[in-house]
Amino acid sequence: MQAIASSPYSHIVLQAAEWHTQLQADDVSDAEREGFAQWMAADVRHATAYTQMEQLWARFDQAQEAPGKHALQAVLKPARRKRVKAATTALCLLGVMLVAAMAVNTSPARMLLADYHTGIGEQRTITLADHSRMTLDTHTAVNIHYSAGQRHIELLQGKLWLQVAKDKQRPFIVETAEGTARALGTQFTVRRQHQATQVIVIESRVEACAVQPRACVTLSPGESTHLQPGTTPRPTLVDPQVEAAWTHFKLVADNMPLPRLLNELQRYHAGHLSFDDSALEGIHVSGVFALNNTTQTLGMLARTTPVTITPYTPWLTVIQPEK
Amino acid sequence: MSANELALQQAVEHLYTHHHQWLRHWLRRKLGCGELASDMVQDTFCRLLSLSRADLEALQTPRAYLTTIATRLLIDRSRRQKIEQAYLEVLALTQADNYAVSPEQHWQVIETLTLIAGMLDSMPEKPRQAFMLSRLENLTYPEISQVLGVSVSMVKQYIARAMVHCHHIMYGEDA
Repeated sequence: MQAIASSPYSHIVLQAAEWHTQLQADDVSDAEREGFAQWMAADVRHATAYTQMEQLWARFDQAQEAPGKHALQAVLKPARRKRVKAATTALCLLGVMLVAAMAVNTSPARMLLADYHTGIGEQRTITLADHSRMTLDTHTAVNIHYSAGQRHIELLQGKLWLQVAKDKQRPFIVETAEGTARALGTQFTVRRQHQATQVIVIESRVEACAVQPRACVTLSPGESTHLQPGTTPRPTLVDPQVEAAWTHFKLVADNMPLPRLLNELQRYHAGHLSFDDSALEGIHVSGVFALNNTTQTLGMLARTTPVTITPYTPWLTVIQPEK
Repeated sequence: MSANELALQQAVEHLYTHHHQWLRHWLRRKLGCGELASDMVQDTFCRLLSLSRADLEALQTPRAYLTTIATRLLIDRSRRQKIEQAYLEVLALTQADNYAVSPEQHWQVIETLTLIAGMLDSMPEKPRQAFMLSRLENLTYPEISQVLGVSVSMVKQYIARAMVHCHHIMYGEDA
């Protein structure tokens, strides 16, 4: 039933694939184009095979759209990871853990090769092997390391919301470059920004540990701490509801400096937002802002705050104070 | 119907008569559902019609072959379900109106994605990474070479290999 590997047609298929790959490059020389034309003219089967390559290539259009891409990742990724069978069937969801990070130093390669990642403006929810659930915010990348001894999530970039399944034998740990957040009970939040990780507890308690200096703090509901090099973590108070609004694509601002809001919007906005922090610092905004339609949100800011917002291309929008 | 087609049909009928009960029983044990098992038996024998008569007659171990086809169909089916679920989840999360489609279009999208997943799933790791970065992430060859830590000419070889792999699946190896 198998074709002989050296059959003439399989050789033509390989040549067609090579030509197709070569012609997709950015730097195709005239000599290459000439060579391709000659090859196409040499045998009618060459043109047939090449047309099939083009049709194959076009089939993947569907997978470029965000939902298609995610659907593919859902079936492709788990096969690559080691899967750990849940130790017990009597699992219950203990609560919700929200992890947020805004790394700016993660390389694109690490991001793309992560177990799971989302694009700009996308969110995605995944059920883990132990039935814990994890929601990835915009532009987020995570690696999952489950073993018999522990449940370890490596957050490279972005924000996570986790509902942790109860398992006393295996601690649930989220790690970033700056430290770890270890679930002691139910609900909590972590956030990483400019090489600092923030941990926020929604419910129950969490042990947050900084890498440098090595120091831990145990947080209760409504408490938060920052993990960053050179600072000993201390608890402060936050509003858990405000911190969880992103899971509904909302941002709650209470007298927030405009540059901070724009930095948040930038994470969901595909084009670059250009603005001078110091020029906009004095402008404060309050309200609930939509994160799933950043263009509309920017339009609303232009109408309600003393700034001029000029979109030059879809990739560059300049925000300046009104003259 | 040509003599060739008739002979093929007879060969399939022969297999059907001798093995369909057995296959149905095998599938039923696997699936725990008689109705679904009957459907899968039909699908499995439909696949046989795409073979040549010579191939069919040369089958040494028809039952092993039938279970191979049936297993592949079962994998496709579960893959299709997972894809559809993940696809709908993302739609619900983004609430994106621009993906609103008719039931036919939706079916078509899921079919295409299942086919693509099948192609990618059976692809060797490196060619798959190179191909996906190129085709799905629109990275250039030099960018992919950086991500994977191989030369640009290696990237091209990987992608060409991936295309040959897809071609085999879509058009058969001896088309």
